[in-house]
Amino acid sequence: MDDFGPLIGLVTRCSSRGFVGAMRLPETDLPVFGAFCKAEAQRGHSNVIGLIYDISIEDDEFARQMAIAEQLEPENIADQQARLLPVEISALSVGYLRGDQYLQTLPPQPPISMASIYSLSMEEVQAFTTKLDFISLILSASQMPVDDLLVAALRQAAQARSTDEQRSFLLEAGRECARLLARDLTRLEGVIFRLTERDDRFTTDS
Amino acid sequence: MSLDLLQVLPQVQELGRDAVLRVKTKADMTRDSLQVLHEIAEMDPHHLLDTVERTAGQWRGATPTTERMDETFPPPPMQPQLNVIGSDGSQIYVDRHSPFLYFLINIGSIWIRYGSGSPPQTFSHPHIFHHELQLRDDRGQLISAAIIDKLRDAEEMHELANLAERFSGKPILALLDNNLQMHNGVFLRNHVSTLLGNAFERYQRSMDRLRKAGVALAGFIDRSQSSDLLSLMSLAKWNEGDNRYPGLTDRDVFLNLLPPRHRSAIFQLHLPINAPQQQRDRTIYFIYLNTGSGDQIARIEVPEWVVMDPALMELVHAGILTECQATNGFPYSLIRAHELAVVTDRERQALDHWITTICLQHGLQLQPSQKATTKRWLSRPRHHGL
Repeated sequence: MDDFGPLIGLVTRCSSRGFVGAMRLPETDLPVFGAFCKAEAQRGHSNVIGLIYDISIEDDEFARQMAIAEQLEPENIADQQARLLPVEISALSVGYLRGDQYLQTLPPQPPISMASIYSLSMEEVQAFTTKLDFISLILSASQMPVDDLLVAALRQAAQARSTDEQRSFLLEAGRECARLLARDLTRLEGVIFRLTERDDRFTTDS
Repeated sequence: MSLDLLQVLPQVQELGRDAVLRVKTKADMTRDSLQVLHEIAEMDPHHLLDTVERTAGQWRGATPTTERMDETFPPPPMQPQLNVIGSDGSQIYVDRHSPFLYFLINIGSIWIRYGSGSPPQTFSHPHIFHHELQLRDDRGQLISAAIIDKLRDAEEMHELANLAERFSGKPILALLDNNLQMHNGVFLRNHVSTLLGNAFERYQRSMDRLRKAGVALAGFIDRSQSSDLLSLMSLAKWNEGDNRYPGLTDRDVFLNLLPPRHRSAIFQLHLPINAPQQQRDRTIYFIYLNTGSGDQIARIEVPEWVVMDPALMELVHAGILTECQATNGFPYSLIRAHELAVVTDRERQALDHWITTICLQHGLQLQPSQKATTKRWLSRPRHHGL
């Protein structure tokens, strides 16, 4: 698959469980929480598939002082936004691509430092989410908003499909969540509710 | 830890007691000096200049201009559109203990167009000097830190001139975090080294370019220790060439004179006859400015062409106030220029590592001096973990 979504940033640190990248300034829709991304690993033999779970911007004393200044010119604000304090994006590894095959397990190697991080195209998202094994990888993650991440990822995966297929995909994903969260019905209810809210196409009649 | 705090503590306590006494003494001196300032402000300026002439060129201090010396000037209207350029430099000095001899000058600069809403443009220009001719002065000695400082000053001014010509569009205020007297204190037994001479010429050419571009150039000095005006007061009142108020600075006087956002009268800097000709050819003027933030009184140095143009002087006054309003009294552009210029210890170590690596690729194995190596032995304690 040669489709490349937009470049998001560059990897700065990584591990088998995920990777962190940096970029200058976020665009309106890039990156977003729950978006799928990929970064090259194993000297190009594979691409790690990640799910963005955190987007953060550091500050420093100068930025804090400017934030509380009484009279700040628009140009000072613009300068503070453009200062080279990198936007950090953190991604959870949810699989990898080797050749034409997506595997939904932890990758054999993380991406290398300074590897480019690309957003997955709609076609790639659809292809990756044909199987739903990545849901268990998300649910087993810690120190991140797991349930919100899962809902955002499944919604994105649904939107990558045609209108006709979205409902059936979400039903199948819901069943997989029910299987994995059978012992935590409260949590399952929360996930299903958030998955279906604000979109009448996905509510059941019965 | 090698600092014996038990020995230091009583000295710190004495410092504290002394500081309180000094504040009281300074308050008394300040009141007295203000009175003297008002007195000499009444004097005929020509009489004052005659007094200065009678020092036969042995005196440094301030001389009055057409503005009354104790007068304060309110802020002019803020400019709706204002271009500010600021530059600052930092350096890595030559270190004979490092694996390779070099020095680096890094110039950071910024262009802010107030009133446009656009983000400023920022620049950073590092330059490594490593050729033998660049590393030695006329006597074959390793180039000193003092000369590298002046090379840096010349590059800061050069960068301002470049920006002013590149981004034409008046009005332009150009700021340096420094005085404008480049040669201040740097001479080797009255001999101007070739390196320093070249730097000075570059500095002067850059100032000429700024003058031709009609730029309001200003040097911003925070916590100035100058006493040029106090020297004039001492000369005028008691015929004494030196500041009669030890420990008191011009800044202390203006702290008690200037309302917020007001500037002082313009003064001319008078130099002794044995100052370098190049320095005496370029007349420098100065004001003091209450930036409006607490007791922040800055000394602002300007060249003659700025003083001769009231619009440029107003630009200096209003522009610096604009720059200082969000930052408690220090120009925003100079904060950013410094940030763009500064070379951290970590970056310096990374640079040394790259140099060593590159030389190794060319078959050269470099080593720091044994002194530097032993310092590394002492620098990183580790704790035994069980």
